[in-house]
Amino acid sequence: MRQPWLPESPPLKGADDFSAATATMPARRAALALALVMLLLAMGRSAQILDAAFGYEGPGSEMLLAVAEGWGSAMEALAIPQALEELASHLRISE
Amino acid sequence: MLFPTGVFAIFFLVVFTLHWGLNRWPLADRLWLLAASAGFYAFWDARLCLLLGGVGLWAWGLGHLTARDRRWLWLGISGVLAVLGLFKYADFFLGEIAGRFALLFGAQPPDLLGLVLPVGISFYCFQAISYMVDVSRGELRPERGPLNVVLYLGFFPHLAAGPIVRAAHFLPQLREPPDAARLPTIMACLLILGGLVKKLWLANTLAVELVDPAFRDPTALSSGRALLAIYGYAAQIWCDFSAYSDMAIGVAALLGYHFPRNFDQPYRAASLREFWRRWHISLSFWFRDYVYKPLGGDRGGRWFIARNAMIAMTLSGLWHGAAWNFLLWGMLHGAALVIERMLKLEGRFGRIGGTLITFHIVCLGWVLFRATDMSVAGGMLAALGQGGTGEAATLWLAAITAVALALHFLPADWPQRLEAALKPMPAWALGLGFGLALVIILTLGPAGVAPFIYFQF
Repeated sequence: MRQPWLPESPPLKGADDFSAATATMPARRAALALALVMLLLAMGRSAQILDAAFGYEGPGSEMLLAVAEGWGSAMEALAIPQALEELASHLRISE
Repeated sequence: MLFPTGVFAIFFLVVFTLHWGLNRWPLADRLWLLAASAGFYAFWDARLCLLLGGVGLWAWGLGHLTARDRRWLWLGISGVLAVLGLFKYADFFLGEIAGRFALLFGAQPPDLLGLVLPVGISFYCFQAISYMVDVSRGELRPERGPLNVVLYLGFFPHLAAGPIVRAAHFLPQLREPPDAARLPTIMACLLILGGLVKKLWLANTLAVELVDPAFRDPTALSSGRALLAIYGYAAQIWCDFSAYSDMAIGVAALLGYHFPRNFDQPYRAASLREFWRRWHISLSFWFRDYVYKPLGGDRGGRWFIARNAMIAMTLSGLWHGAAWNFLLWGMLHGAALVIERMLKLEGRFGRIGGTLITFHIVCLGWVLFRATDMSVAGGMLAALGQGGTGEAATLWLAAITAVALALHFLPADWPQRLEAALKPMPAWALGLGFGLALVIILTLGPAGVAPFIYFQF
């Protein structure tokens, strides 16, 4: 084993982001965390998902577009894109 | 496929799920990772997978021969360098020769090969050499089958732009299935989110609003704007490249594999020698271990050591690209290292003085590195003496540059402190927190993602 977050690994020579003190969790809990990250990402990027679905021309494009439109409408109903747009209009990182 | 895109997010979720699902079947798992890496690479051009596979098979086969007789190592290295030379340097040298020929004899220069530079070729070729050398030195036993070697070279988190992970560090990780009970999820996510902030908020903004316009036409700049553009590029290239490295390290860690740190607050360095221990650490150590030391390293007189340093740094410059500006950039660093060592300048100016001097030498090198040709580099340096005429610096761009550079002076262990604070939180809360942070980072960043600078190498 060479992964420094595993205590049985030999210590690394230089400075590193990971060490034996690094917090770990089982893959199942990591998967739960990542699934929630993806859910929030899909909620926050519904407009971009719709744009991508419009640009897609491969097989299943109509179904994909319908799903993206449905998802986009649901997010609109929750006012998520509007809230993010408002946030971006005040804080966007550009001149 | 770029890391900060929705396509990569979906790709990674599928890879992650199947990878951990196959954890009990190591062979199937590694085949899956290889297939995913090939799919990742095929996004650029499917033919590139054949080249990558060919280099991997070559390194594996020659690794076996090298283990029996070290003399095979030269053939192994020559083969890899021939591939690198053909795709990366042939057109440059042919162009130079044809240009001289046309100048002397007035003839029409012949057509160049026009080969496309495969993404990541410099990185996986160097890793192929690392494998063969480590085997020849007895630091690593040769792999029985080619799967691990090809996966080591093509593993998608580091395929396009490193870090260049040593074979002796990575291959032992592939020999055992990663531990599904212990994933460093918090640190991995912090590295990925931090990388996104550096890339989207800082590097992209600096590139679009400050650096690209300045280097496009240096004659239009006031000296203040030219100086800011040079500082801005120093900040941009660090934010861009360290962001990619951090994300690669984080993505690999979520799959249970470790890549060593590639950047360690490099502009804190108080000497050139220290800078190269903090900047692109994996490449610096590669040149140290596979070029500088085999040339004789420090074992000899001062001119012998100077020669070795100059060769290593010049080759390091050439590694970045087949162009005079990269060659001169490498030679500048080589010469500065030699002078620093010969005159025993390290530590002479104190910590702050040394840091300022080192930073400005590095910035001078960045002018060469960023310039598309020598006239642009000359133009940027000339603009520094142009005075107040031309396009002025703005407070906003100065602030963005200052923020990017100020990140170097945060406590070195700030990610570990943040991780310790997040450690007691349950997985669902971490997922919601990281998800919210991700959406905010993407929402506030500029639209679209520019390719990473180091993809061209």
